Amino acid sequence: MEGLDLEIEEGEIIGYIGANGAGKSTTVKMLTGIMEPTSGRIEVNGRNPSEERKANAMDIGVVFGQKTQLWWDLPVRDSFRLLRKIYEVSEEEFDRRMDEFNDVLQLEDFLDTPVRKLSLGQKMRCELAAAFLHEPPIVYLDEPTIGLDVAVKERIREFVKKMNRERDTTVMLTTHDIGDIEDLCERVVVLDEGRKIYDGELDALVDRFTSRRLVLELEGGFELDMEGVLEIEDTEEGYEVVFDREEVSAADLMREVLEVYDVSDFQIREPDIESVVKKIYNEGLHE
Amino acid sequence: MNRYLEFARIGLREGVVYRANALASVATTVIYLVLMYSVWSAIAAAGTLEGSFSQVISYVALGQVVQNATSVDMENTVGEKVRKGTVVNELKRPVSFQLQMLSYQLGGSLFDTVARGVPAMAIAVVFLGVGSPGVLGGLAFLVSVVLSFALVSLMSYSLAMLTFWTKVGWSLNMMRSTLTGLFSGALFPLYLLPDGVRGLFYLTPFPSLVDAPIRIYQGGLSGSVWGVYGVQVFWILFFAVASRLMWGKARTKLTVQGG
Amino acid sequence: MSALRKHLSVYWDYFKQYWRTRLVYRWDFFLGATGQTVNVFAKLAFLTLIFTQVNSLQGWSFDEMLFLAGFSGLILFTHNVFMFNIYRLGEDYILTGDLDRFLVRPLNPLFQIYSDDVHDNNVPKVIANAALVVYASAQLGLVLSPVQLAYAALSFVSGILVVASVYLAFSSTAFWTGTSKNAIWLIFRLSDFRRYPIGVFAVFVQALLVTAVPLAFASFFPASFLLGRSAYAEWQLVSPLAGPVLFSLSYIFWRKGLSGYSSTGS
Repeated sequence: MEGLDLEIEEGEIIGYIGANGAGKSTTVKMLTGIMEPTSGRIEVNGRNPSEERKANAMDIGVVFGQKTQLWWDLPVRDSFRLLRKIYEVSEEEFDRRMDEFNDVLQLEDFLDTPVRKLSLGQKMRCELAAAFLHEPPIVYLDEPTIGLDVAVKERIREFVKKMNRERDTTVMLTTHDIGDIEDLCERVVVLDEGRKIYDGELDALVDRFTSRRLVLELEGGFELDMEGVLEIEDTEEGYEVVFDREEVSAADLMREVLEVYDVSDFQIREPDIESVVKKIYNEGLHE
Repeated sequence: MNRYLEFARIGLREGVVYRANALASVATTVIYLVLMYSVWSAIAAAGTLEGSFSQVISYVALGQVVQNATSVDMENTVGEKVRKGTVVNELKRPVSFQLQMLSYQLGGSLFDTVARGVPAMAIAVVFLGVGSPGVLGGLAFLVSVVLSFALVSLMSYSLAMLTFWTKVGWSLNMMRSTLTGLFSGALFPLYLLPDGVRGLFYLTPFPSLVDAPIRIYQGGLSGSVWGVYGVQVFWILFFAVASRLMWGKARTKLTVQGG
Repeated sequence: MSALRKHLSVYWDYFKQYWRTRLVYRWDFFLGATGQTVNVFAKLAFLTLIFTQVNSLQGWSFDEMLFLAGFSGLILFTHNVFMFNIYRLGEDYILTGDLDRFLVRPLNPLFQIYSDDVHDNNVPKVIANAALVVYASAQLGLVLSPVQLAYAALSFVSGILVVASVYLAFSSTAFWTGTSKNAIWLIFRLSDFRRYPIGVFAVFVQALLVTAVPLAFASFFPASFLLGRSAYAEWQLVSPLAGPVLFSLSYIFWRKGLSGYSSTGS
């Protein structure tokens, strides 16, 4: 990390994004007390997380995208029972919350299945329930929707929103998925090479997300004047047409282009975090 | 032929990669020899030991050398493949599964012989006064060790076939190691056994693994070297046949199950 | 719920769950148990053979040797059933980053490592060694006074802690080297020395067994006390205390390693 200044209020859901290696996991590790910063100060709910590791652990929930917080060989139900004990949740509270989670995440069907036999989507839903089981004030979600299909992603996002709404849970979400951020976060922090390069409202970044890119391979020069076309760039791969999909569709663009030009190949590109971050970095910080 | 050479090369390379294991193995051999030296010295001091102390300690040391050079574990290798289901892929290849496994094991054992067997031999000679058997004796010893290797590989492979039913290899490997330790001379010199018991031991294939090469090394056998080889070869043939039979059964099981 | 009660209650749950899943792999369990039992007998066979060559080893009779083997084995394998998992610290927890999962929970991480696996394949060995102790005691006509029984109980517990302290210290080197399995393999080999009276060994080996790898406190000293042997009296007396002291030292070493892990992450 190259020096990070970050403040998060209670009840916020913030998106924490950046390219791989930008320092997202490192930040989360420091906040959860696994790592110590070489200099500077960290305070989580009034505590230094690495010094008061156990106390801090009681107040946080974590979903590590790749690693599981559940017990591999045990049925899901038993994992939750163990967690109940570890996080000192009373039986009544436990039953109540499990009912609620079952409702939203629909875990009933596989509560008795060993974790190792679950599909990715099922496992993720369980991980989320596990993270929120003890109603921690803070939850860290590290790539929670990676590799999941749209239906499951929806359900997970619903669940997180509900928890945040009803319990004022502060959520720190690291993700590559724009859909997650669009749906959940009002505030976005962007990291690049260990430094924070953007911290602000999502709305300000929205136009980036709604723009799409059409890459055209053709001979000779290229010009296009249409509503919704934001920019045309001559790149190695061809002409990159940046357009606002709310004003013009890719189909319409293509129709126009094909009337005039001989296109040998084309590609439609969705914006990804990497290019968004690069873009932000190249254009400087927004305030 | 070349294909099998490739497997051997892989086995050898793995040995090099995990060479820390070889180092630890030499360290454990040292520890074991220190223990045996202490115990047998105390026994010899009591004055009632049959034969000489140097003979006993030399036997034990040579036992370690032979074991280090012929350490084999196909139960776990095959067991893993069965458990993961990758064994089906191996069957699709146009090579003999058995030869493939054996070649792989050969590569690994070649590494072990150098990385574990040679240091053990050095320790035996330098610290424990194990004498030289002469050039002819040395060669005869090496031949016997090679036969031991062939035998232990076939035994291990035969047991490994059981993993197609039990799915786990480590317990089979452990049992073989324990029984080998008990009956082969690795745990204690067979010549110290009372005659009747020793006779029973010799009915098993185990003495051919460790006791056989040691006896050749320590000499005093002259013509009966061929007798020792004969017994080793007998057991090699026995397990060669056994392993083919079991492999046949195992393969049938796989294809019937639709692996 | 106090922290201790919580840990105990959680452990009991882990333990129950473990057995439930264990018996799914039935063949493995059965073969493993058989193999372990055969193993115990193989070691006993060695002892028996030795005694065809002598009547006593350094003044110890066959039955006294059996007692020593059984008592020390009981301690070692009871430890192994519950606390062996630490040997995986380097390869399976530090290198994989799996330790992070434990650090994020409000539970002692060392406790979590210990309880992550129960090494039940040692249970047959525990039973066999207990039987050995009973048999040897009967053969010797050993009758223990209340004081000796109390001593036996204390030194049993202390012995387990002594073994644990050795395993913990050597495993903790993984915080610096990333590997723990090889170091533990060496310890395992060294623990074979527990079966013999300490006088059998050269002085420097004796020193080793009392300092760097102090397994003598978990075998020879308490066993010789119970057998009514008066040599090494001071060491015998100290044995019930050795466990807690040595384990505390190892625990400090462990925490040092852990704090280093925390500040660099992996």
